[in-house]
Amino acid sequence: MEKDISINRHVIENIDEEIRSEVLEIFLEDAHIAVVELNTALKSEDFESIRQYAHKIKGASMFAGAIELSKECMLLEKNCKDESFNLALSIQKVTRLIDELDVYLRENFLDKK
Amino acid sequence: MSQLKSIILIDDDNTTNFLNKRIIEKLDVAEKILIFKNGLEALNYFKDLADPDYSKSSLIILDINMPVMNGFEFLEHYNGLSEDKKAKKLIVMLTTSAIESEKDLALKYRVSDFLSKPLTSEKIMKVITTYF
Repeated sequence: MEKDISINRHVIENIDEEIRSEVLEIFLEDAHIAVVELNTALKSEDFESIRQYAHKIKGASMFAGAIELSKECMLLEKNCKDESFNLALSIQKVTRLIDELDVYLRENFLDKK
Repeated sequence: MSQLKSIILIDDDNTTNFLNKRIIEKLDVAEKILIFKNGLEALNYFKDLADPDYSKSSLIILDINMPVMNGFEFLEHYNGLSEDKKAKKLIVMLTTSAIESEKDLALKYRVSDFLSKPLTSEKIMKVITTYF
């Protein structure tokens, strides 16, 4: 287990090597788009969109073994309509985790770009 | 010869669709694999289905949480289609967390089974051997 961003690299290694790079690239591209959408939805207080995008990232992050990211998205999905939940902080964390994951995956599994 | 006419994947997530398509391709159980990004895209496909082929069955693998039209909204509209559009098609729902009330609702819409994410070749083969 990678300590900093909680990556289970065995999950990534278990993806068929033939398609691994393509899967991870698709995942990262979608995750970055979803983060932009999350931040837009936060500004417009569109809580249903926040729930949907959190759900989407949660599901996809399981393929990349991104445990911490998946957990944070689960919290966000569950609590996004709860006024006492700090939405901005949670979305900030999701954004940071995806950026860190991008660096990690490029350093370990993808050609660096 | 492939057992099924088609496997129809309805999911908004590109990573999920890519991986699931690859798993199904390797199994070589369907003549074609169709992908729709939400319920509405899939519904339009079924509505426009002009020349249904009844010689072989098709399997629909449906996600629940999707933008534009989610899995349950799709089922509601799909149920209203004429019988010829729905003939020889079986629906299973693919989900991370189906709660019992959702399962009850889905069963009313003729959903045959529930599969937990991620989809694997074993889960697909189990559905095929059970229902086809």
